[in-house]
Amino acid sequence: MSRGGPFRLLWWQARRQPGTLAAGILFGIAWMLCQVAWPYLVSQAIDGGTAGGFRGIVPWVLALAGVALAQAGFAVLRHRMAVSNWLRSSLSLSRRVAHHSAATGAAIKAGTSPGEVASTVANDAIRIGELFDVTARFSGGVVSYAAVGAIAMATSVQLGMVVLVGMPLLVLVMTAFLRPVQQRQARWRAEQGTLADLATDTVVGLRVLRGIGGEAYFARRYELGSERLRRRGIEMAQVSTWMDALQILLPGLFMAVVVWMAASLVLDGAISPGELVTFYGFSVFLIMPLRITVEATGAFARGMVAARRMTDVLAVESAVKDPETPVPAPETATELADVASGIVIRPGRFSAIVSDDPASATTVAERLARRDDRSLRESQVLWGGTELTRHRVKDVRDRIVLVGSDAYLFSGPLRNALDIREVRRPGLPGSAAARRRRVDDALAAVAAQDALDALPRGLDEHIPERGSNFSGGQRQRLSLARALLSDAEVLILVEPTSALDANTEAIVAARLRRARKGLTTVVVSSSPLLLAQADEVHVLDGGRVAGTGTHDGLLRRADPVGRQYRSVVARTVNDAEPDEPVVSNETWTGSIDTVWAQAVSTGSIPLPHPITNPDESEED
Amino acid sequence: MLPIADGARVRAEVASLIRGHRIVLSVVVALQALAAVAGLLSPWLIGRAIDALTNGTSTSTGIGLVLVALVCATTVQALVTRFAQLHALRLGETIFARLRERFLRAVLGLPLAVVEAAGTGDMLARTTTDIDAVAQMVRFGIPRILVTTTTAALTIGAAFLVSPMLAIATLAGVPILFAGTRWYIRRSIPAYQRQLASYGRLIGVVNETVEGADTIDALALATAQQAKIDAALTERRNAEWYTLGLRSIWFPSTTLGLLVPVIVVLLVGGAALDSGIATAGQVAAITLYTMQLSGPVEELIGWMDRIQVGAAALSRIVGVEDVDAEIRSSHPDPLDERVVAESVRFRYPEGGEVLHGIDLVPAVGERIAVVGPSGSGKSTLGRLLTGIAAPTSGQVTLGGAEMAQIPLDELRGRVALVTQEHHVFVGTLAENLRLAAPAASAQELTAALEVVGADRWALSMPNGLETHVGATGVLLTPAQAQQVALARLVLLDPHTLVLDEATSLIDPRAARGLEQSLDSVLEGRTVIAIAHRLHTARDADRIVVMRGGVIVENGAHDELLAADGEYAALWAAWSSQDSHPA
Repeated sequence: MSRGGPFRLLWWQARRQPGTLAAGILFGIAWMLCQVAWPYLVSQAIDGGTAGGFRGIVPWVLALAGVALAQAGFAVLRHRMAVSNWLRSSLSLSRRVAHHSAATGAAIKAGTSPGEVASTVANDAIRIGELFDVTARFSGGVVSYAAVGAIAMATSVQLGMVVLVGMPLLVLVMTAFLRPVQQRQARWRAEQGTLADLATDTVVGLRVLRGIGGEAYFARRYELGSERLRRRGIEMAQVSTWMDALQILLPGLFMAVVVWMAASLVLDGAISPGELVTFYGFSVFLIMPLRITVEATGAFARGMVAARRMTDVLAVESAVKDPETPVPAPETATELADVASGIVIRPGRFSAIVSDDPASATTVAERLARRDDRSLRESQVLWGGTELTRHRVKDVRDRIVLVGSDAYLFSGPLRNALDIREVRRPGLPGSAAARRRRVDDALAAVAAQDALDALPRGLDEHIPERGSNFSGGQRQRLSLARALLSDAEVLILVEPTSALDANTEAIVAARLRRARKGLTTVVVSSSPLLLAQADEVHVLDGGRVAGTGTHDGLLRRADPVGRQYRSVVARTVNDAEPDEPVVSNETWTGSIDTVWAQAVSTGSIPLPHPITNPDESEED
Repeated sequence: MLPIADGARVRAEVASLIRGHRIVLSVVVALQALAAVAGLLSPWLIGRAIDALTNGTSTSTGIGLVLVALVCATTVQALVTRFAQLHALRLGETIFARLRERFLRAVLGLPLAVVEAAGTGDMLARTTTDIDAVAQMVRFGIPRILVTTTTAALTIGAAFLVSPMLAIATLAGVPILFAGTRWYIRRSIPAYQRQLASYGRLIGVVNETVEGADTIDALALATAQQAKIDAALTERRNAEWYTLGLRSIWFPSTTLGLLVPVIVVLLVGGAALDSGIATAGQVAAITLYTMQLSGPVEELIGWMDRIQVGAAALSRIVGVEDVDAEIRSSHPDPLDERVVAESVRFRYPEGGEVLHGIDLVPAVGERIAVVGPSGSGKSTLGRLLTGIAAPTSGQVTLGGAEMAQIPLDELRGRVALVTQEHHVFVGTLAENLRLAAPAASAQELTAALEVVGADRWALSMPNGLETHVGATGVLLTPAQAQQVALARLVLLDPHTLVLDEATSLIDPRAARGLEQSLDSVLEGRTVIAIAHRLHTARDADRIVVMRGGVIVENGAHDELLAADGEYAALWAAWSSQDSHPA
């Protein structure tokens, strides 16, 4: 991170709100000056009263009433500007960080936890807001201090000097004592952070805790942390209370000196008794700018730390970037070729990639979808003959979509969470009825009617983050429906049916193919139900294509490719095959789901009624 | 959203906090009173000095004495304040620590369905922002409110000592202050609750943005997500602006409420001077007292404002306890280890019925495999059998006691559930395991890891069992996390356990071995396995086939084969495959 980072960020924000900052400073000054007027007017009133009784007091009282009204008005304006300053800067920076994290893709997860980003958006933005707020108030404080100094100077040079020199001196002494307080504060905050992590963890892991009854032990751990934090808090209080004492003692001593000097001047006849009251009033008033200055010192320090953290988050870069001179996107129905593995995805086909090492097949899929430019630099993917990285990211994302098995469902009305075409390509024509039909079709294709039926308000139901009200299988089907609704030219699906039971998988596999008719689809899977639907299946060995064929063809092939394929796909290598005794245990790892699906597909088990719509039950 | 406690509940809560700490609180109040008295000496001394100066009776020695008196007063005030504050802060830290511990216990006791319905955003906002708001209140608010109240009361008292007639004039602002503040507080509580909720919503949206970052990128959803972020920010802004609007009316009323008395005192004072009732010094002193009053009163009123935020936060924190009060109120004692489910029906709060009358009576020590397609209600049954949720009708009992009414700490250790869901908690690996058995030794932990085949990777981590794992430490893979979950189960050693696809994320080759070693450890325990592999089913004593929320077949492997139903068809399909041994 460059050293200028946080400053640049603050400057960037300051330039976005020059009006509110200036108004905040102006109203702050006006408000403070009203308060400066009080001691002066009150002392004049007392002097007037001493000399002329009630009649002597009245004109000053009228002036005071005028100031009171002005002060009330300025108080509101000042506060409104303070809140504006605070709110505008904190919201605008929150927005910047949040938008940035939405735009950087997976890269944001690499260096930071969701909690950290949330804390930057929520807390650091507020710290910076406070910095802007205090800047305006601090400026008001400085001006009012100068005004008091000038008035004092006009009355008595001696007193004026005491005010002008004394105040900065007090600020210096107080800020010097601030350091140990801040050190303990930092320790306290670190402890608090640990405890907050623990509390957050409770919320997220409650289901797990509930299953095994770890609540008591967990609570005990939290209580130990809580007790440590309490001790740190008391340690901090031991120092910070001295600071409080100092905040009374120093202004008190300052006031005593001012009063003593003023009284001596009254004795000498240099000033009136009323002016003594003025100076007493001034010395009381100056406590406020003094406090603001001390507060500002802290707020500046905290604001800088927050700005630094924020620039760190903003420094995270997306894993994919537009090239400097992008090439125009290829025509539709273009071939996609992964150079390293030798896999060629032909347009309009339903292809599959199979490997006994699932990770290597996923790697190919991620390259095809350009998830990370770094991996593509070593082994390119050609799209219509040009490297994928030479295209605009938007062109690639619009046309090639990769969906993993654990795709995230976002909160909001289910309809919006699913139908993302409007978001991806705004302004496409289509009536509400047509839209509704599209969504219905996609949900039917993934056999997700059961998930929808459980919702009282259907597609208008507001779903929580992660789609946590759905089961794992329902989530996977809904995310698959969302992928279908993207209308992507090339759709790459990684283990799209891993969380589905076999009969649902059988239905989904068949309908998926139909829903994607005419478009390019690639699945990474070892499920025979899906593979049986593929036009061509690429078998990977050591990251390279070992063979390509159809599911049935590969099952029958007698060569090593065929054996490898069967071992992966069927998850049912024959015990009787003496040449591969090592994997005999796999016999028993065949999942019920797979077997069930096969039974369903051969008709030995009838399709279950709850899953299928009555009108569709005959088609599969 | 989770419930929010009502005003009466919050007031009772605060009252009980005050009662519980009244001795320390009285010490704090006494010290603050002493400090305030010292603070009030200055205007009094200055009033005396002015009188002396106007009468011409003062000398430079007299003025020197005033200086000494002022210095002494301020020193005493500073010292006493320090100790008063220290006591107050210490008390605040203690109250706050107990409060957050209570809150966490309440969260830990919440019914799962409630937490799931509320969403993480709401819960996280309560555990972070609300706790912070209350902390601010307890650590700074309560001490400052004590200080300012005492100071204000003593200032008025001092004014009465100087001149009762003039002192009454200092109260001229009270009606304005009272009316303005009353108007404000009536509106501010819901407004601040809205503000806090908007904050929770923003955190929730940002969290999902980061958690779903891959998906946002893959589906090019950035614009949509940004629009959602903007909506959350707009709500936040609107909520803030609304409270600002309230304050825009309230603040000037307090400013006037504080300044009007000064004017009234001067007017009354002028009349008093005319009639010779008061001296100039008395008028000056009372005017100074009145002006001095504005500091503490303004601060006090400012705290009234923040009390609203604190009270709103407190009501959300205490509200969590309201949920807890709804469940596990009775304490029946289970007589034995028998789990019985009778005509169990279950309906989620906002959805259709998922279980339509289930009867299941596992024998003690029996292994039951539950088989069925997704959506058939297997997982829901698992949750009911472990007392995590109560059936809508019918009953699930353990040793004759209603399962969902048995207090959680009594229930676990007897009945446990491990699902495919996994979570590694922030802390060391050992701490993660000890959740199930707090007293387990390092050897026992290692042994448990061995059973689930996790000892190799666990012990090869930098600090072995003491390695920091979870969100802020070493990130474990889903398979490793599932092994940790199973190791916890081994340590917990309940007599009845439900495994809901508990090995689904582990490599099938390793899973088979793991299940066998688990079986040997769990010998004699009642095991209900929601199976996803056929061998689990065949190995079981009894197989239950579920479909659409009912049990369609129930019996041993051979019986079901003989019955020639769905299970038999399933088995036949499997064993007829040419690549497979029969």
